[in-house]
Amino acid sequence: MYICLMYSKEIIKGTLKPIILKLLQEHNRMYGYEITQKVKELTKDKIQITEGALYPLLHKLEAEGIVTTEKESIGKRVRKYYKLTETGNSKAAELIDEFIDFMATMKHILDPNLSPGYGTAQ
Amino acid sequence: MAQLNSIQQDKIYDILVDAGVSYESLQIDLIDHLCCMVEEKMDNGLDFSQSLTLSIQEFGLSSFAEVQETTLYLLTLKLNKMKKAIGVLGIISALAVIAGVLFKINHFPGAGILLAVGLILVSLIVFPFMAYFELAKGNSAIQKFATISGYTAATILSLATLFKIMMWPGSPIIAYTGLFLLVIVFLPSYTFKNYKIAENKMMAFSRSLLILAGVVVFWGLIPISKDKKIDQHKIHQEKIIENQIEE
Repeated sequence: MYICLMYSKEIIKGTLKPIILKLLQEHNRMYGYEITQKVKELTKDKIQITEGALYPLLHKLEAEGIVTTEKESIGKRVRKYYKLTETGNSKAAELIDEFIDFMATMKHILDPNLSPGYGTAQ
Repeated sequence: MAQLNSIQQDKIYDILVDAGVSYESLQIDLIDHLCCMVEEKMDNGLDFSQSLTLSIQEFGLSSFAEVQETTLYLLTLKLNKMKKAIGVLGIISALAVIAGVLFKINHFPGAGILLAVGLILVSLIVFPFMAYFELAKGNSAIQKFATISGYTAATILSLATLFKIMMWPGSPIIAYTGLFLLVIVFLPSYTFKNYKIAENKMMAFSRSLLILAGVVVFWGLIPISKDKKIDQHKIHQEKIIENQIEE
């Protein structure tokens, strides 16, 4: 689904949703092309989102009420901005926390020396 | 930053439509996306046609339709799972009703339970969900009206049959309500809807008339007049007995 220059498909599977939700959380509203460019920029081209992965997910998130859209005319064409709804905001926060926790767990499993504080926080 | 003119945007629209992108909400996204790709390349010094060719190559022409396919698949995934489940339930309930009728004819035990289970499933779960799936297609107002009235009438008639079989009171009233809804509300809207879209107008009328014929047959099976006659006959006999006692 991604065009990924650095990571294998197995590893980045399931990361698209947290990436999109995090971006929308930080930027209030974004359009599709803007999202792909921002991901490219933030990951220094290591992750490039394809349209084939991005738009189906955005539409699904809209159907689930996690994002909503605002339309704006750009000349003759219409630009659709995606933004988080109130429910979407809390869901995004939940998913991002879960993902961060998951990454810490993975780090601990794969390289325990890198995460000496793991499991000691109260 | 370059901005495409109206003719250039129309060209991009035509390319997407030719590639099979018909889902309007996605069409808006992809037109803007492709325009942005082209504009970025024009900013880097390429002309419109070079930028467009390069952008389409990057995107992959067949990918446009694939994006739509994936989007629609994700949007209808839940609905399709529900449709499958209701389909299975529909088959089970239809088999239960058929088996129930056959059992009843042959005086086998369990006919009542089979019919009751089948008719309850059909009227309270299968028909309402089928109506919901039909409405989810986003048809015209008249089609929606025909769907709602048709499935409501079917549900009421199934319940009337259930009441009749279980010998619960009120089955004729329920049956007449269902028939009334079917003939007065559903049939006209169904005929109108079919007449509007049918290539063969005669076929549209024929369908409606066949439903009406079915309704008439069902009507004939409601033994309301017969029941009245039996009741009147009983009252008459009781009166004779009372008179005889008085004498």
